[in-house]
Parts: sequence; structure tokens; C-alpha cells
Amino acid sequence: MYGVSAFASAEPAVTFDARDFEPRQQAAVVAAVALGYYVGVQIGMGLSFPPTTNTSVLWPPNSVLTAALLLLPVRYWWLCVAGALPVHVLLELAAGFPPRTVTALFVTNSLEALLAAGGVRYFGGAPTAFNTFHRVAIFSASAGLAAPLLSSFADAAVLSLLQGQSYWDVWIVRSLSNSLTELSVVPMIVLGVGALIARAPLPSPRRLAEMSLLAAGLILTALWVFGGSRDLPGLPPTPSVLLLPFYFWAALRFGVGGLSTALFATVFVATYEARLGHRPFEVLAPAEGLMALQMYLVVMAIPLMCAAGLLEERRRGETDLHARLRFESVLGRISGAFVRQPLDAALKESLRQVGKFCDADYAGLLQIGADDGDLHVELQWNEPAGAALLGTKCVAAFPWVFDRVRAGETVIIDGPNELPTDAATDRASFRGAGIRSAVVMPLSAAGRVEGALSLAILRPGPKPTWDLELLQLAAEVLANASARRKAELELDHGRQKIASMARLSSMGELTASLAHQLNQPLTGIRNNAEAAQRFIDSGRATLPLLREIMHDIVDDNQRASDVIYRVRELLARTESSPHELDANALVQNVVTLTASDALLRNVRVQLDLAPSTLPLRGNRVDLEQVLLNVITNAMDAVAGNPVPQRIVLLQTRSEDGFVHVSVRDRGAGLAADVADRIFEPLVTTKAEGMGMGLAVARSLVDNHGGSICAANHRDGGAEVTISIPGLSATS
Amino acid sequence: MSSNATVAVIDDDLSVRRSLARLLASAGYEVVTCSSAEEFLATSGTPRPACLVTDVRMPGMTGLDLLDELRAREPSLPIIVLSGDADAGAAAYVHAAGAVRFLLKPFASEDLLGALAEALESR
Repeated sequence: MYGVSAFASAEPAVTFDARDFEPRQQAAVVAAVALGYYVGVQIGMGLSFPPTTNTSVLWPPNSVLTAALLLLPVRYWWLCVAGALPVHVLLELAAGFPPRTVTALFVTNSLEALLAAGGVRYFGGAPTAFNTFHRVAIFSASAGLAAPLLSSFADAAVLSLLQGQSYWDVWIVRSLSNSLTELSVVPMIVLGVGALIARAPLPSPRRLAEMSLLAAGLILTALWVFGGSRDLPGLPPTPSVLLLPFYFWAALRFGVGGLSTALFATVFVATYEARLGHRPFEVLAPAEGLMALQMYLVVMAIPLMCAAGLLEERRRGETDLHARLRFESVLGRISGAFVRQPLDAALKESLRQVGKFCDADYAGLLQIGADDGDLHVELQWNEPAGAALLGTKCVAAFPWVFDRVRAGETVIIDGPNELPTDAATDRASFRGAGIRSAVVMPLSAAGRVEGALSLAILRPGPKPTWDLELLQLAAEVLANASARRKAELELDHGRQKIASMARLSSMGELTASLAHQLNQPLTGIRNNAEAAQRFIDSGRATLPLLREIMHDIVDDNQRASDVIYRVRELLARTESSPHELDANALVQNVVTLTASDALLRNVRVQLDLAPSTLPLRGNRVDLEQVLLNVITNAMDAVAGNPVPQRIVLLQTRSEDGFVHVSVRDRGAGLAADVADRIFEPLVTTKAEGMGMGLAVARSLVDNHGGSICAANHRDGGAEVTISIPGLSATS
Repeated sequence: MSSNATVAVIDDDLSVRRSLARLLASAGYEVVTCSSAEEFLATSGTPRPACLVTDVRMPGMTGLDLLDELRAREPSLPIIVLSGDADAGAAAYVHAAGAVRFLLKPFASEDLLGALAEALESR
């Protein structure tokens, strides 16, 4: 099955109704029906009683036909006739029946199968499933009762007219025999062939053991009941009730198929014993005893079969509910992952959950690349068996599959043989990687295929059933998330660009300030050195004077070195991993960096630092950048004030597990419409500002799991507060 | 070494101030130092300096503010302005305001001493 766009139904039964048969397959069907019919006739003749008559306890050929009609689509029913007719004619003629009788009996046999299969199909809807009360009841009524009873009128007419047998005797014998056969043979064949077609796995060893135990118990009990029971004194005349527990066992544990097999086995044993001269029922002659047994089995089988159907329905309901719950818990976990975890981790977790749920060995998330428009594997998950797929370039290896996926189709492939002949590359890749089954789903956002979700099973096993409903939902979640991921990657890229731009621009501002800071010691050093030279040249140099000059030169040199050291520290991009930092030290460091700028603009920077250290974990360069941006803004804000009011107040404190640094200025404050948007890019209050500083600050603070906000202080001016999660605060 | 003329040095940076004082002293000048423009204006006592050497970038009153102030009070006092910034605007302003020289820090001692000698001669 490939190219499924709609959800497959969860119907477990096999049906060929939608399938077209090639001539080769049609021939196989004809051969299978012929063989089944032949075996049926042989069994029927073997089970005839009394042995030399044509009255059989069980007559399987009609039921073989019924089963075939149930399994085959109506348009292929003629294949059954083609298979059964020659076998019927040959065998019956060989048995000595006149041709007219042979033909007429074939018509009546076919009539029974037509009535049975037609009734089931007309009223039931699912001809090959015996898994609900409704279906089993309709099967019992159509195939178990109506068809045998009605067709037996025709049978009786044929045999009484052409063979001179008693009409009602024939009718009653044929009705009972055909009814029992339909009930015991049809489910056995239909379910057996269905399991073969679906390549259903063998039952577990435990279940096989239980089956053997049941079979042994049933057959031994039947042998005893129908063979030797009359030798035991004191037993009631109908010991066949002893078989009831086994029928219950079969029906309740192995469903309709189990019960029908048990019935079949019982009839087999009973007939065998009757032919040995034993009486199935103590008080009756063997022939009458067998008829009584037939009636007993039919009457018992129908309600028990319905009960088995009901039970199966319940069990299936429970399994569905269980699957549903599991499904919902997987969906819940996937959605939860996106709330709790960063996007990449959540996507990975979702892939893992979906892969595990589907029992897959490999799960991959593909995304359409922005630059080339091709699908690329973004994330993958695998079990050890799926490791073979890790290095595969999916799109190159499976061009046929991904063409379909890009067109919006979901592709399910169970093995390389399901691929069409024009998918040679895909076929080879399937074989090469040893993929047993794979499903690839498009991930669509806004009607466009933006990526794909692929799952594969490599371990050997039966044909898997993919839960397409879950996959569809998961695909929707993943499509949204992967679109978000793509956007975030692009945004991150942009943010990095902006951050380095802002760093550069503030570096430009800093350069002037640093030049000034370096100029002072350099000037001092040069003046001192030249003064010393002059004193020496003029012979006025004294040792204490020279010592004093040298001392000053060394001091100035130290000052210059300190400046260089701080610049190097600010520029150090290598320090990208988070360190344990002290907020107070950060603030002091940045204040030192901006000191000369503050001096030039006559801004007084007042510090109100927490008495103890304020430990936090973060990236020094980033946080200094944030402080630098905010402090520069504050100094800009007070630039227009009279000198005594050019004050910037820096405060640090620890509160609620956070370290807060607030930068307050005595400026004009923020206009109401700006306060909300001040951290957005390109929003600025400065004539020559780019509007990047605070946007960058916010993204850097975000990266530290912190927040930054701006508000007007009640005593006037604006206050920007940076809050970063603290490390076990010491104050 | 020519004279014992008094030169006033105004700079907020102690190290620069001290080194300047030494350099001027090595050239034979008497030196008075102030750490701010305000301090200089406040000390109106004698002897009045024959020349003034001032930094631009200082807290409070800047060198340029001082220049404006002194142009009004003592137009004859020659002033040499020192600056760490290669600011063409400031240089032009200094010249327009009648200062003798605008020197970029750090400078060679000959430049300062030459400018000083020139200023004292033109007086």
C-alpha cells in the first residue's frame, strides 16, 4: 500500500474487496477453490454416516464456497464457480451419481453459499471479520441458519424428485448438516486464510501451549464421551455436556475461530466413534445420535459464538482505549516537551517519543533548506538497529518517495517490493539499508510542504501497522515547531550580527575614552623622562629627584598597563562560557571603563552597592556589554541637565533569588509610548541613536535567563533594572 | 633657562600635573599647579603667572570654559591648551579664542617649551 492520503481504517480483518487480481492471481484463486472444494468433498465423504450412504454429518464443500465468496470481491465470484464446478462434477460422477443429479446438486450447493455470503455481505458489511456481536449474529443468522434451511428445500426437492428419497427426511438431515458445517468450517477457513494473507505472526509460546492443552483436552474428552462413556455405570445419558467447558474455553480465549475449530474437531471425533459402532448418545441409534449431536452443537454454538463476538468486541474496545490513552500520553509528552525544554531538545524528545510509540528503529526530521529548497535531515533518533540509516542522504537515496512527499502525499512502504518499477533507486536503497517498513509524512505549514517526518523499521518481524492518526498529529506539532526552529535560527543569526554591530559601535565610543585614559600616563611618562634628561644635562639632577621621577614613571606605566588589561578583558571573546561572577565587581569594572566618559560629560556616577558579593553565573563580556549600554544611555539622558543634576545612580541588591542591578538617571524620564517599546530594535529616544543598544541588552539578558525592564522612577528620571538569577545569595 | 617666569599648570590628573611641573622646572620656570580651573580662578593672589598651561577635559569647568573666562578677565595672559583628543573643532576654537598653542597629548618637550618661550616673548 502506498500513497495513502486518508487514514487507513483500524479494521484488522483482511479484505480483498479493493484489490484487482492479475491473471496469475486469478488462476491461483481458481486452483485454491478447486483444492478446497476437493478436500471438502473428501472430508464430507469420510464423515458420511452410515458409512456407505451419501448422508454426511458434515459437508464442507458448500462452506468452502461460502468462505471463498466472503473472501473474494463480488466481481470475482465467478472464479469460485470455475474452481468448484469441475471438481464437483468429476467427484460426484465418479461416486456414481447421474449427471442430472450432479448438476442440480451443484446448483443447490452454490445456492447455499450465495445465500450465506450474500446475507452476511448484505446485512453485516464486514464479510471476513468475526469480531463484534453484530457481525457474528448476522453470520449465525445468514450462514448458520437461513442459508442451510432455505437451500435444503431445493436439495430435498432435487433428491426426492431425482433420487426418490423422502423430502422431509432429506430436508432435516441436510439442514442440520449444512448448518453445523457453515458454523464450524467458514470462520475457520476465513480467519485462517486471513492470517496467512496478513502474514500474521505466530502466537506466543504461552498461547500455543494453551491451544495444545485445549485441543488435547477436547479430543480426549470427546473420545471418551463418544467412545467409552456407556461403559461407565451411573452416568447420565447425555455426557456430551462434559464438552461444554472446552467450547467455552475455546470461545472465550480463542474467539469465533477457536470455537468453530473445536466444533469441527468434535464432529470429527463423534463420527469416527459412530463409525466404530459407538453411540454418541446412549439411548439413540448411532444415526439418530449423530443428528441429536448436530442439533445440540448448532443450538449451543450460535449463542456461544455471539458471546465470543461480544467478548472480542469488548477486548478490542479495551485495546483501542489503551492505545488511545497511550497515544494521548505520547501527544501530551510531546506538547509538554515544547513547554519545558528548549526547542531543539523538545524536537529531539518528540522524535524519540513518536519513534518509540511506533516501535520504529529510526526517526528523522527533515526541513527544506532556505538557500537550496532541498530537504535536509535536521534531527534524527534511532535504536541500535536503525543506525544504518544515520548517514543516509535521504533525498538522494529515496528520490521517488520524497517526490511524492514534496507533493504533499504520505508514503508508506512495506518492503522494497511495494515500490513501483520506476523507483529503482529507492528500491536499491531500501534493500541496501534493510528497511522492512517505512513511512514518510510531509510537514506542512500554511499549505506548503516545509519538511518531512520519516520513520523506518529495520528489525525483522511481521508487517507493521502504522498509527497514521498519531503520526498526522505529531507531524502537525513537529511542523509548527520546526517552522519555529527555522525562524529562531534566522533570528539568532540576525541577533548575533546586531550584537557584534552594537559591540563595534560602542567600542568606537569607548576608543575615545580609552585614548584619553592612555594619554594621561603616556604624557606623564614622557614629561618625566624628558625632565630627567634636562636635569641631568644641566647638571642639576640629584639622586632623590631622579628616584622620585623614576617612581612616577613606573606608576604611570602601571596605569597604562591597567587600561590595556581592561580593554583586553572587554574584547576577550574567548570567554564565552559562563563563569561565576560578582555583580558588584561587574558594576565597578564598567564604571571604571566609563569613568573618563562620565568625567568629560560632567556626569556623577553614584554607587549604592550591596554590602556583600552578589554571585551569579554568566558571561562577563555579555553582561558588561549590557551594563555599558544601559549606563551610556543613562549618561546620555542626563546630558541636558545642569551640571549638579547630571547624576546616574547605580544600585545592586539581591532579592527573591535574583541579582538586581538598577541604573537610574535624573533625566526627563521615558515618554509613555516609548516605555513599552524601548527594548525593541530600532526604537530610540536619541536623535543620532540606532536603537540597537537596549535590544541587544535584552537579548543578552534573556540568554542569562534574566529580564530587563525600564520604568520611570517616582522621584523623576528613568530606571532600568537588570535581573539575573543569582547563585545561592550570600546576603 | 632664560628666565624665572612663573607658569601655571592646570590638570586634574596628578601624575600629569607633577610631570609637567618637573619638566617646566627643568627648563628653569617657576611653576604653580592647580587641579581644576575653578581652583586657579580662585587663587587670584600674586604673583600672577606669566603663562597658563591647561588641560581641556576636566570635571566641572573645562579648559575651554576657562579660556572663555580668562579672555574676558585677562586678555593678555598667554594660554597653552593641552588635549588628549585630536578634535579639530576644539583646536580651531582654541585658536579663535586667542590661545597661543593647542598641543595633543602626549607631546615632545620641545614643543611645549618652544610654545612657552614663544608665548612669553610675544607678551
